[in-house]
Amino acid sequence: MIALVSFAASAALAVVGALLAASVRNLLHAALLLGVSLFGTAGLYLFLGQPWLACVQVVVYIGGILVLILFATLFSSDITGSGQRAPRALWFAALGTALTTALAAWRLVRGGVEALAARRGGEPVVPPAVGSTDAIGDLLLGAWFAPFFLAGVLLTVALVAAVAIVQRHRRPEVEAEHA
Amino acid sequence: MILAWVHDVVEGVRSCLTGMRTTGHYLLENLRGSGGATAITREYPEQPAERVGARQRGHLVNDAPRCIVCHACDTACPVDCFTMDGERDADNKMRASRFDIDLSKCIYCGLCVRACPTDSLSMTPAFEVDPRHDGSRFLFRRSSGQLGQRLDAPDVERLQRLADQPRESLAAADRAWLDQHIDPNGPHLIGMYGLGYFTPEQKQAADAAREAKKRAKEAAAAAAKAKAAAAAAPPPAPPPPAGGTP
Amino acid sequence: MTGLGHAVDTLAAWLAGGPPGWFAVTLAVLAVWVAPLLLLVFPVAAFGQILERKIAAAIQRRKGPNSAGLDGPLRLVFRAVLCLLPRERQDRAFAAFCNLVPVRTALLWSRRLGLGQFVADGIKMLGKEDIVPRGADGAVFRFAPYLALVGAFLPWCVLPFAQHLVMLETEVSALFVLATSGLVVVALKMAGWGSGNKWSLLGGMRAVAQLVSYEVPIGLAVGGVVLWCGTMDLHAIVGQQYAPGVFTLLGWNVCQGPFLLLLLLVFFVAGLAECQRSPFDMAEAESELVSGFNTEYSGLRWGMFALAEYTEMLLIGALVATLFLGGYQSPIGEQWLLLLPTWLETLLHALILGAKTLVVFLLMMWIRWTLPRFRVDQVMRLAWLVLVPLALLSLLGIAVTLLVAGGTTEGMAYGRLAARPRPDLSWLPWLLLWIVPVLAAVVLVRAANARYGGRHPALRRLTGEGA
Repeated sequence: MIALVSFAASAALAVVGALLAASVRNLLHAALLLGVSLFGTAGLYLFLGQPWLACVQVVVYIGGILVLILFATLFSSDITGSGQRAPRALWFAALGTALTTALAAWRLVRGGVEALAARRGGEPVVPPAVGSTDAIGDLLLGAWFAPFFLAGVLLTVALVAAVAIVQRHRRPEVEAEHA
Repeated sequence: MILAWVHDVVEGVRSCLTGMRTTGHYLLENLRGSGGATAITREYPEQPAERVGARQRGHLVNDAPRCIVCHACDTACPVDCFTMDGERDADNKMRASRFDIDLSKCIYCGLCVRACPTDSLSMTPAFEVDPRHDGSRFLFRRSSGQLGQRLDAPDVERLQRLADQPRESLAAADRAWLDQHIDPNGPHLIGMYGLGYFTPEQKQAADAAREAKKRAKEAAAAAAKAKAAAAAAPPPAPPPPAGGTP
Repeated sequence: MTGLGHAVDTLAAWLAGGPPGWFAVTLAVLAVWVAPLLLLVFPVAAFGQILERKIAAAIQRRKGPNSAGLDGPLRLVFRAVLCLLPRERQDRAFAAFCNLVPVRTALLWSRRLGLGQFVADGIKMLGKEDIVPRGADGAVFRFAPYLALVGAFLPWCVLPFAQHLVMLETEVSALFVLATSGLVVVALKMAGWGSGNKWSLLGGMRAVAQLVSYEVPIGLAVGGVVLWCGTMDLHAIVGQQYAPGVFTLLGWNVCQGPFLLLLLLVFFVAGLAECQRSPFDMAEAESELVSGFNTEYSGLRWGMFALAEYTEMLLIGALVATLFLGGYQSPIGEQWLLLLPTWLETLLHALILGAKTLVVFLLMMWIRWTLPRFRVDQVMRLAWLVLVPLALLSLLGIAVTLLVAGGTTEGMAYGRLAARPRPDLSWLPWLLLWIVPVLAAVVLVRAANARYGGRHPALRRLTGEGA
């Protein structure tokens, strides 16, 4: 029962949040509603038996990306969106996107149902160990080592570069320029 | 560059620790009760107040016999807390027949004391004014309508005499007179001791302090005069000493 | 995920007397999860405030709150309990009770310590008007304090208070703490923007910039501990720090080499910044920004921010204890503690964790009332140029140590926690682990002192030396 209630809450958060994020005019509200949707998604991950993924979702998407988006919205000249009018073409685009998404979702759900059927036949769909942190660690440092390593290097370079950009201001000639 | 960074970090940590050692010392001192708040702070309403300092500006006092009703204090006062009247005495000199200081207006700035030409106004270090307690003998309240009523020296003495007795034991005429001149719920707090405004002991102390100050001033003036005379004396007659000393 | 979920289901079924409906489930969740958490943390956070005021006063050589005692609240309690009696009899009973010597002494001491202050403050706060400014973004403004409180409270769910007192056991609890405490960032941003006030907005921006920056060193520090312990489960991390024998504290992470000690410092400083405490209180900065992000808040909403701050301070304290100081384990003789009956053991363990948390809490106060506020650029400098390099260095050191260590051992089973394989550190790596980094540090510091000694860094920077 508690599982059902929580699942319903997560799913509702994810779907309603996303719908509202796409439809409200206020940019900042849209960003915050996106956060609600992301939070709901994290809840859904929990129901798929992936607490690690759920936590990472919150750390990266809410703690990182959402905050970045919130910052970016503040640079907009029209945060409240009072001057915004949706051009007609956008409605067609929205319709097309919705259709495509619905198709993809249908395909995915059908795939899931088939997979479930196959599982009932005795074939496990998902390797059971994947959910655990140990297994994810093994995969990241084993089969997926190269991409993981590259991503790490990329992030480190970005970090060092950020520090270097700030350091640039401390050079005498730049400081003289500022003065 | 690495050395500079290391030095930055080490110095930062070191200075933080220095600060924390200082505050930690205070903290321990306070907890032990050997210093800081426990040693210095006096919890005033519960513990008796101490003299805050020699130059503290407390009660404003008028030494009536010296007052010449020149209104210099009235002019200097930024809040208009004085109400005074004067009359000529037998020697045809001005003396105060009434001198009210509205203590509910007074801001204790001391400008009147500076303005006073006869040093009759002064401020005592005492600052406790609580009409509920002892102070009620020395202070009274008046309503705004009563402020204009004149209280001459005999009236003040009568007020003082009446205030010492419980209200119930007063004669009907006295009670009526009191009700006419003072109002216990009035907004204006007026001093009442003679024409100065404090207890007899405070008055004595203020008088003594003023005397001492005056004597010191006179002594200083005399010394300066003597010095000036001594300095002025030699130049007119330089030859005789010059001739006499060798 | 296991833990109290089962208890919730059982309680809900019992409440409903059959298959539980949503109402029974909500009640059960409130009773099992939310209520104990609030009951535990609310009074502690409220008490933390009075403690802080006393400590601040002592450091500034003042007395602090010294008049509000517990007699007033006690009288209210008497009136509530004896509500059927006439008022006069209630008061007489109260007076009789207060005249008992131990009670009177206790009440007098409660006055001297100002213990009633938080009751008074709480009632005052409840009575204040809840103002939403005209230019505010209503919904965002109203919701932000709740989110801050959620972000401050959620991490407590996974914190092990004792062997059998963990609300939610999951193998990713360390990550869970990082994730949920990150919600505070969004809350502060919402508060800053929603107030419709420039000071709030500036404060909110500062808060977010600071929190995002300091999440990096915190993440790295937690990562170092995770690397060392080989698990992300806070409870398992506590179990890993168990060492048999009298001096249990030798097994604590903080005793496992200079790198973990360094990580402890990094974590503590970054944690200080995470809860926006002075010297990192740029987001409030009352001398610059009025009150920063909570300028426009009043009454209970302001109280929620204050409570969130104190809860977060306690959280940082508990995390320092859990990650580095052996969690709820006793520093000496832990193995005999395990022989006690479960209820007593649980109580003692929870108290020990509380004591460790309190020590860190006091340290935070000591720092707050000593150091002046950093400038904005100094805060960023500290995060990116000091803490992050130090954390990376420690991470590297720990990785190298683990490489040098020859193989793994079985590890110790602790209570109901199974043994986990640990790096096998024989005496040589141990020696290298302690001596080499410490020697290197000493050499570096001496060299730096020889080169720049006696000159303050600020002075040096002014002259452009060693930039």
